[in-house]
Amino acid sequence: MKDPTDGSSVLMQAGYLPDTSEYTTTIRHFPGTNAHLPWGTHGRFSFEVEVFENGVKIGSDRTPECDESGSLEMDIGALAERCGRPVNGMYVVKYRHAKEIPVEVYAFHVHKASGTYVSCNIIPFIGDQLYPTVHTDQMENTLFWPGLIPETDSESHLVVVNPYDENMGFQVHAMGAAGVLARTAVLHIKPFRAATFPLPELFFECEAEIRAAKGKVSFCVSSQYKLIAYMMFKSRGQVMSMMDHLHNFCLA
Amino acid sequence: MGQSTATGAASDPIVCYCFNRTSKQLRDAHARLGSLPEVQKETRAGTKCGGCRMILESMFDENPDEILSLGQGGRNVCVRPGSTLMKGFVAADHRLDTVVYSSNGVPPQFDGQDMSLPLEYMLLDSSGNPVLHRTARLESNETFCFDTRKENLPRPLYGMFLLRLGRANYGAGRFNTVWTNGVSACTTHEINDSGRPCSVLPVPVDDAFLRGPNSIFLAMQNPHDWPIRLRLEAVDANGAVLACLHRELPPRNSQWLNVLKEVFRPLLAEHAGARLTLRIQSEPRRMDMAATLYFFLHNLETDIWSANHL
Repeated sequence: MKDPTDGSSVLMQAGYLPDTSEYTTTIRHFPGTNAHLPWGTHGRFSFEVEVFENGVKIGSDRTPECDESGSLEMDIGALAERCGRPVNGMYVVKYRHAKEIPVEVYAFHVHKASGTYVSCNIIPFIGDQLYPTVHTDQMENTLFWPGLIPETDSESHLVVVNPYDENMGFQVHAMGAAGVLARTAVLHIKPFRAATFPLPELFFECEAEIRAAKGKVSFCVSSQYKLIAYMMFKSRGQVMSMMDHLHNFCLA
Repeated sequence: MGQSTATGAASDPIVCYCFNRTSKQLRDAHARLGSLPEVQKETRAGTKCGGCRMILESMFDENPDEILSLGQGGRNVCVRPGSTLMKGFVAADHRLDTVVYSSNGVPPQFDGQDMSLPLEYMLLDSSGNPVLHRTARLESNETFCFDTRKENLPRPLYGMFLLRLGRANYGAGRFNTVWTNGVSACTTHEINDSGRPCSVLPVPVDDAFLRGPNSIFLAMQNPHDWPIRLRLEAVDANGAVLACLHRELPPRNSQWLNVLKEVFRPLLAEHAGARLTLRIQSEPRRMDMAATLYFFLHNLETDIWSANHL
């Protein structure tokens, strides 16, 4: 049994909370999906969630504990709406785990009107002993997304989440075969906020070049320390069909 | 939020956002002061949040102040011996097509470095037989793209895409696989590990789900050179296994399974009111026997697909 007070047994993660009037958001997690045997002997698992809107904490809750034979679940949309109205913001997950067990925590967003079901990995923003090499193998402040989606009805949106109690600066770069096509001014995001940017609006000055590249354009978010960035696709009906995280630039 | 407008291809990228220090400013300071610690004393670059310290280390091949050693001899983005193999699931049928992306993006803080590299890619069919095998070169910042809509492929095709980048690290590349039907697009990423020996399809399926618009599919791949065997267990909310089936996956094999039709719907006909999930385990449960798994949801009313890896 690991020492439950050991700080390295806590993993901080954060995600985007889309408008709760349009989407349900639920986290489900199965600690048993790890590479180690036997089950049930590594320790206890639980997480607590804090929900923020415009930088203000509006709710929090925690799950009961389980071991690797169980699962954890929380309806974050319902937690957010305890304030009595729809919420659009972000959430922080404080995940207490047995050390040395890799985890994959999924959030699920279901579009209420259509039933469209989207899953999304929640991204850690403070590493611990679980991933000790990350800090030296990856440029944690330089995130990439390869390619655009041409010839579909999908629209791409960049989602940036600031889980720190600090203002953060970042830039977004569009990269073509000849190098950086364009980069934004330094943008800023306040603590505990999420912001979404439709890519066509972010790079409207080079929209023709991006269109001419027929998808062969990649994007980079370079930021002050480790912001969390997701790419989100919306179909023509403005229904989310995908939200996936950008990748760190990896040196390993 | 600040202005969200593009400013054009500025030639002097910011390295340290805390103190707004650009690449040119830091290089000029280094030429004048002679060492990175001296540059840091003067500019304060890398001394606050620390997010750019690795960039400083790579720019000047010196350890910045207050940073741990990066290991044996240090690492540098210019080092590119060896190669990295990545793989993903490709579908090309009457419902979905696949676009594979990778990138040779150079971090903007290193603007101007030549990172041109060779690449090799291969598409295997569901049995692991090669459908195509090509080599190419990816220039600095170039985006790699392979689109099944632009290829003359046998259909339906459910297979494995292999991409080998001619360098030791992933860089910006990694690998995104986009599945699209023209109405919607969904994507997930892949790296070079095999997956997990135990995964749970984290979508709870009950009678209400059956009445809803979604179908669920599972893509299972064997990335190894040896056969693997998967055990698929339908588990209820109490952890009881209600049904079990096995799948044999020969080397490089890919399989596509309609989980709702093959597993959940028949089970819920017998166990009305149950809330089921699917646990997928390799037998034996070892990392070298792990499968690569993806799950897809198809909204039959809107024709929107979504997907993720397990």
